[in-house]
Amino acid sequence: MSPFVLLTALLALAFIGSMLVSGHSIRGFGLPSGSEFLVLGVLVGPRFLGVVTRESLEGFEALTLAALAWLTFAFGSDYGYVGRKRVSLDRMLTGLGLSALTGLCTAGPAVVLAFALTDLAARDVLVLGLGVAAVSAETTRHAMRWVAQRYSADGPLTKLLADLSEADDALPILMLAVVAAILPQEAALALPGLPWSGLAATVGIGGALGATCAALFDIEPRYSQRWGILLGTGLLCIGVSLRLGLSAPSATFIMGIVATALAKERGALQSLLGSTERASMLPALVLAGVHIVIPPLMPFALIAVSVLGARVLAKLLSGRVVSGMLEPKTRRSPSLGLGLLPAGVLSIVVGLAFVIRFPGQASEWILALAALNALAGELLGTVFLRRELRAAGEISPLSVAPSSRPPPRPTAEEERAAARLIRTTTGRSVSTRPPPSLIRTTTGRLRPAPAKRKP
Amino acid sequence: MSEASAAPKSATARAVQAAALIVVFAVVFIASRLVHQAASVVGTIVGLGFLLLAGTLTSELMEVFGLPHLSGYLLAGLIAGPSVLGLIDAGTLTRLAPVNALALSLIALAGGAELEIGMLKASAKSIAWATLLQHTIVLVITAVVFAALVPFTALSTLGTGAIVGAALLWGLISVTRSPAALLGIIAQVRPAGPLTTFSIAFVMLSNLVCVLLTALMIPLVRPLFDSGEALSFSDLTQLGYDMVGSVSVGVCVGLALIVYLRLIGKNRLLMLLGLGVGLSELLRYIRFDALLAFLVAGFFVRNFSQQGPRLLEAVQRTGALVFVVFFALAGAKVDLSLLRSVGLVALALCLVRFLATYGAARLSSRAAHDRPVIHAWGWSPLVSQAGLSLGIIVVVMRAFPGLGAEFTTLSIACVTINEIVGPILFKLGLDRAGESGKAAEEGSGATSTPTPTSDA
Repeated sequence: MSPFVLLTALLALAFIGSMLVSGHSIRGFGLPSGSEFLVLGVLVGPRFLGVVTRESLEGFEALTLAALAWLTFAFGSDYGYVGRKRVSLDRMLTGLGLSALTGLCTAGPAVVLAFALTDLAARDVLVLGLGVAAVSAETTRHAMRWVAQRYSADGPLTKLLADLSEADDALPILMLAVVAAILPQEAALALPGLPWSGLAATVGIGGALGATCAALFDIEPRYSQRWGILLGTGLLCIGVSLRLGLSAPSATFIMGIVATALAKERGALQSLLGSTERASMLPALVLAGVHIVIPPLMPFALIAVSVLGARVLAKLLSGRVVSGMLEPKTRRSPSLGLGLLPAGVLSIVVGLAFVIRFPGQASEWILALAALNALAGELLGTVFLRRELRAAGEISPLSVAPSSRPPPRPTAEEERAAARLIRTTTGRSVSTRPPPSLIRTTTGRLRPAPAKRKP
Repeated sequence: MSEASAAPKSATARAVQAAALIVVFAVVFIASRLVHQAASVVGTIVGLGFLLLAGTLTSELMEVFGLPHLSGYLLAGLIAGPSVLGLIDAGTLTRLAPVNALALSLIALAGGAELEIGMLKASAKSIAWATLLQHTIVLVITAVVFAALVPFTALSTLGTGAIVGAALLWGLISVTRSPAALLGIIAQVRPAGPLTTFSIAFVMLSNLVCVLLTALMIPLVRPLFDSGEALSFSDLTQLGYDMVGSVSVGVCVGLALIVYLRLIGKNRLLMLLGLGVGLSELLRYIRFDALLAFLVAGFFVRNFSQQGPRLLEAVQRTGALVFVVFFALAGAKVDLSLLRSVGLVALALCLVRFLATYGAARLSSRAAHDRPVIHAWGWSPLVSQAGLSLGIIVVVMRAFPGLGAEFTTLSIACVTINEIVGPILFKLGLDRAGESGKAAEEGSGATSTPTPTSDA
């Protein structure tokens, strides 16, 4: 496949992604982790159909990193917010702490087994350890949103889990900055005082351009100019970071956080960047799928099983911590931690960043583990998450997955509940008054209003 | 192209913009000095982001001096380009070439969508006279003066026949105008009125005439360079095929756009990006004229459906980003050393072109009994030159390599001067004619201010 065709295909995917996000269809279709697009990438990749070959991907590395960095820019702009509501500091710290715990628990066995069973060099083992920690740490917020939207979940547990899953995004992305600083590329600029100078430069570039972006965004009311500011600062941050050999996804993530923190027009900024999130997510997932190399069974299987097992244990432990944060009256179960298993786009994006940054077996394993985490989270995590929320009484027993039959029109009570949910998740107020084309029946349901007679 | 100016910005806002511009220049300057050998794609990403941001900010600061945004984009590119600071290297300029193709396709699409049959009918007499006189008087006068100035240039070694041929080709390049600059200024100042209508209709039609003239001129001039070469119109036959093909493709694209805008209508930005990049590449591959195809597509959507305003709005939004880079790139390509080397002759030739254009405009408006506003300012949109002119220079040089680097240098220098001066004159014309900002006030379809939708 020629690079031009590949680029056009990626544009088409971005188009599909933005179509999904702009319509209501997102609620009915798709998996929370986006695994279907990952699998699509594996299928069209060199291992199976060979539509996209290794050769055609050459030269796309910097472009792929740029796409990933744009995605983390969008993540950064939304970081610490659920809808328009800021996550409290204690929940942010707890989320970060729990993700660090999971990272440590998973990196340990991976490093030990890599030393014991493989002939990887010490540098590669370090990459593997850091990478495994980075791709295992998160609980994807997309799973939380997906369950909340699909099953109309609402309540203290839903909110707590949403807050924690929002907070833990920072660790994997910031770990990329640490890895880039600890293990600089040969062609990169030899900054004096590494790794601290590398980290400082990443934070400095992200912070400076984030502040610039916020300042310009606030004084510019015009829509097109705002896009110019966002794209310009974003691309500049990505390009300069890559040029200096720093982690572009980390720099843009910091840039997103700083821009949102400083901008008075935060909502508009988040909304503009949010509209690009899914559009860049789908191509990133497919590209990640294309990059996946299925490793030889041994010793990878042993490492994978131990990492997955350690992740389950770490999440069960995290579940205990989460239980402790809930009010006593809230129902919970010992398996609550399994509801924290879902992993998704962020893990895969970080895995892909490792593959591009440190080509080799260790990075290939990291990406494969990220995919396995996503799949395991999909199979177990969402099921347990649903079960926990239902057990806590935050999913209505009547609420089931959408069927092919059109749903009945909501009652007034259901509409009020939906409005409450929208208010808590997005911060927007929604009117529950029926539109003029509908009237409310005595049972509280809506039906079409009778046509007016013509005079 | 930027949206029409909102409320005037405060001094603090301008100070913030100036500070941001300094930060942007500083970041790129330091990065480029620290790491000299940038990876290819990385350099392109830096270049793209830098041109977008620096172009936008410089254009905003230019507003203070009453200059058009295009001048800001050009200035930002010029300062960052290889001629001055060298923040954008020559390799990056080459790699960003697809942006030019995308911008030209959007310009043509918008140009076509601005042409309404009713509007054309209403100003048919003016356009007909202007087309006739501008393309004959300007061509002849500039050709004669060029021939007279040849002894003062490195082209003096050419034979008499070749000098006549070169002069005619010079005349051809002189009659080209810039639809991009025209639409750029229109998008910024949102004008409405007879001068705006005349400018759009004439420049778009002139675009087409220039493409035809090029195809006609090349076989005509060829025997003057090579006495053994017979007059052959095979190029014209080929042109006929190309034009019919391009028009057919344009109609098909127009139909597809109508269906898309009517049935889907969302994600117009991505759709236009895909269309601009993909179709330009395809048309280049099958050797059709992309500019003509997109022009026809826009014209078709505007005149045979209700979707014209939606298409224009989408193009303006997409173009707002693409055109900043397009003009900043044009600025970065300006070779100041080249301008210095042929400066005086180029200035003289530009002055002659300007006077010829001015004279022809006055004559044509008198002959067509135009309104006073066109009589007074009808020349102002005709000075700018940009992408189309450069494209025709490339075609001419490919057909006549014997003309040498001197001809190219001189013609590029003239286009550069007109590229810088032209937009300023057109904005001045619109301001003085009292048409600036009228479309925004009236909220008329063609140049109405877009409102935020899910288009992003």
